[in-house]
Amino acid sequence: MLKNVKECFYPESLEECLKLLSDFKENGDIVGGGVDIVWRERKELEYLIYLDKLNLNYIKEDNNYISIGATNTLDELEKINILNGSFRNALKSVATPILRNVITIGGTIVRGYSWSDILTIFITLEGKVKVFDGEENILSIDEFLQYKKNSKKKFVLTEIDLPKFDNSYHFSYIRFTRTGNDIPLINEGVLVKLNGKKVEKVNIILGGRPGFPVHLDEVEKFLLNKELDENVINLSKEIATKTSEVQDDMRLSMDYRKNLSGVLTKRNLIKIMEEI
Amino acid sequence: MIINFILNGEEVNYDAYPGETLFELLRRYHHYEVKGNNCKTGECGACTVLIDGKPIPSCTLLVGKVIGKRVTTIKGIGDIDNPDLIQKSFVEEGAIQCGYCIPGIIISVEGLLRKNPNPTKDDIKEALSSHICRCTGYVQQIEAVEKAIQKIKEGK
Repeated sequence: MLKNVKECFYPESLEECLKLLSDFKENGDIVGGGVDIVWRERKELEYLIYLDKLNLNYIKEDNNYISIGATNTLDELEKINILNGSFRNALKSVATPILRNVITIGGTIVRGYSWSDILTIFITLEGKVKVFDGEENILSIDEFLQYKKNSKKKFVLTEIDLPKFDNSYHFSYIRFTRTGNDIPLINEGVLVKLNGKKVEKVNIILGGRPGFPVHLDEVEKFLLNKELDENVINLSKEIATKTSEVQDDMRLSMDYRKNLSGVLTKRNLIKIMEEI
Repeated sequence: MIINFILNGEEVNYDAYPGETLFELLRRYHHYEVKGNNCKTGECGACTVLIDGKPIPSCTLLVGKVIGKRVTTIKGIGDIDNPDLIQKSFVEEGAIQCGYCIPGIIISVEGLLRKNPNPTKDDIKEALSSHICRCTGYVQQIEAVEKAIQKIKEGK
């Protein structure tokens, strides 16, 4: 029970939603699925703003992008069949089926926990977000995290866009957890674009370091223009282990995280090599 | 705030606190409608209900999200006098001991079968992965779901 909540609001326009956020300041917040709000039981929260009347529950496609409304729940994203099913498999590894039925994609990205599976997956896939703060801004996820940190404006995240990938793209995502349903101790997504057998483009994103997800730049540079084989993958693992920027926290030591970053890189690249 | 929704097929109106969860509301008005509230984080699955056919942990769902929805609790599936095929199969397969987690599991199985009447064993395992059972274990529960599917196909 959020004992201090006094009232719920269902704005019918983005402008109305922004006005409510501005009026209530730290005493009001948007409810996506509501899971995080219930978990955190913030004492200052007095007003809940629901997005249910803003028609943000859609998945649309055009020639270049798949556009996902912010209030889609994670299970609804499983309908998006891209990258040979590996996007769907990545989503299915997150939390539990009943929680995926209630957690919204917009809420997850706005909360922006550094260990979030969704952040790592969408940064790897070069997702963009649409943010309304009086005008519409289109930002990469990295830019959005900076925007959220630095901007004092109130905003509503309305949409997440994924590029459409052709058959030359391959994706793999692995999370390392204590139990299947736990938050990740570390996670990694890999997106590879092949030109023939050679790597033309690659994103390797390491999350839950425990800081925000980052590119493994040295591994990405090493893999460019190489064919994926056992030797290249083993060398990638070594480079990831040596160069990954990870830290200690109460759950895992830095050394263990460094080793895991190499292991996850190897396993992701093997999965992609097997798919080719 | 007054909220209205359809509970087990009947339209209901409740005076709700704006900061309460569906679990808390149902417990206040019908304390037997949903069982256990073990974790309060949606991780144990004991308080799962169907919302428009989707299994959702009621302890993480704010009442403001329920307005106008169709809510099904374990009482809407069947009771001791009139159990449905899933409940019967769980009893017959010995898939229940203390019973604390079972209502949530039955709800998840019902949600799975509404979405996919012919699930694979992996689909069943995935659906049950939302739930923590500390006494029976999961083997009999998977067998009970397979038996229920068979019974439904045979119209028993």
